[in-house]
Amino acid sequence: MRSLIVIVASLLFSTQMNAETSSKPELTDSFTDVVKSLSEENKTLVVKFHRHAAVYRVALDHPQFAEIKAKLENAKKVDQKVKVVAIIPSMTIKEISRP
Amino acid sequence: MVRILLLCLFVSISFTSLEAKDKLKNQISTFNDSVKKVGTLDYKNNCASVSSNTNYTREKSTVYSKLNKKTIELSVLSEAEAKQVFETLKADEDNSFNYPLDGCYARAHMMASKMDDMGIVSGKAFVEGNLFVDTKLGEANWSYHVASLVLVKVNGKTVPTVFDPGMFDKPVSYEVWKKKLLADKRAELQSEYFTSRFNYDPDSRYDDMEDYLEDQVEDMKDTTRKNKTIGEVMERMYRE
Repeated sequence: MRSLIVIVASLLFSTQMNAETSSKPELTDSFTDVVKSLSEENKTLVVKFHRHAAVYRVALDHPQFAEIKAKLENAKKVDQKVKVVAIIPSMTIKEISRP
Repeated sequence: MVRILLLCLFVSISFTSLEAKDKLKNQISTFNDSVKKVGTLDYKNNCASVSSNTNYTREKSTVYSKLNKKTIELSVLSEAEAKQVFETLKADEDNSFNYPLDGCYARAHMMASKMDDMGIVSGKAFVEGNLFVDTKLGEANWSYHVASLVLVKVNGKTVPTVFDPGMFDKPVSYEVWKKKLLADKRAELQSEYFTSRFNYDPDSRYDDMEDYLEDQVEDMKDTTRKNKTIGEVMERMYRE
């Protein structure tokens, strides 16, 4: 009986821990703006926009880092607006697309 | 028997916790979807301007802004009036002071519009650079910051004074405001200037504007509405 209780309790604990890590809420903001500047600093791409005052970043280990960087550079060259989806409050860019 | 009861209690707590997490996750997911659909209006198109018909009977004086070579006319308030106006602006439920991490341009524009309704001619104070400020939602890193500007009579002198309820709980002189923006060791000042209340963002610092632009007013409304909701969701997340 004791072993059964221990097994059931362990299973429940592991399920809860799994739920806590896998369902960690992620809050995002979305906006369109023109890229003002791009620079690399401490292994991140630092992105400043014309209107949005917050400094946004793209982590070097982002799976689409190269793609996002290219999109931002191209948009900056032609002064074109981009649509940004960023995770907050870390202000890290998750997606870039055309508005 | 006691063990079985304890086990039932543990199961019940686990499911309640999971249910609460799922509920919050669903709320955030719904919010994120709605935010993705909103976006921002095209502020580079020149739309028709919005007229304001307020009568400004208060005493006025001017400040000169060296960088953009502008002379800005502003209302002169007493210290008591300034405190009262600040409290009214801070209590404005339409504004998004609960989300200080971004959107200062929209908050400042909304404050300008509210002060128009009070018969106060305000301006805007801009500081550009690498700015770091501790907020209730964590550290903010900004490439610029803007807030509302008026003149306040202190001991017979008119002092350029900033209303920034996202950063302060009272009106502060422009110098105190700027000092806080540059207080961090990593901070760098690039430029500082004043504009009229009609200028929306740094791109318009050299523009001579005589009224609000309709598309910018719409952008202001959308941005403050969205940011207010983000602030509310974040407050709930921190509580839970």
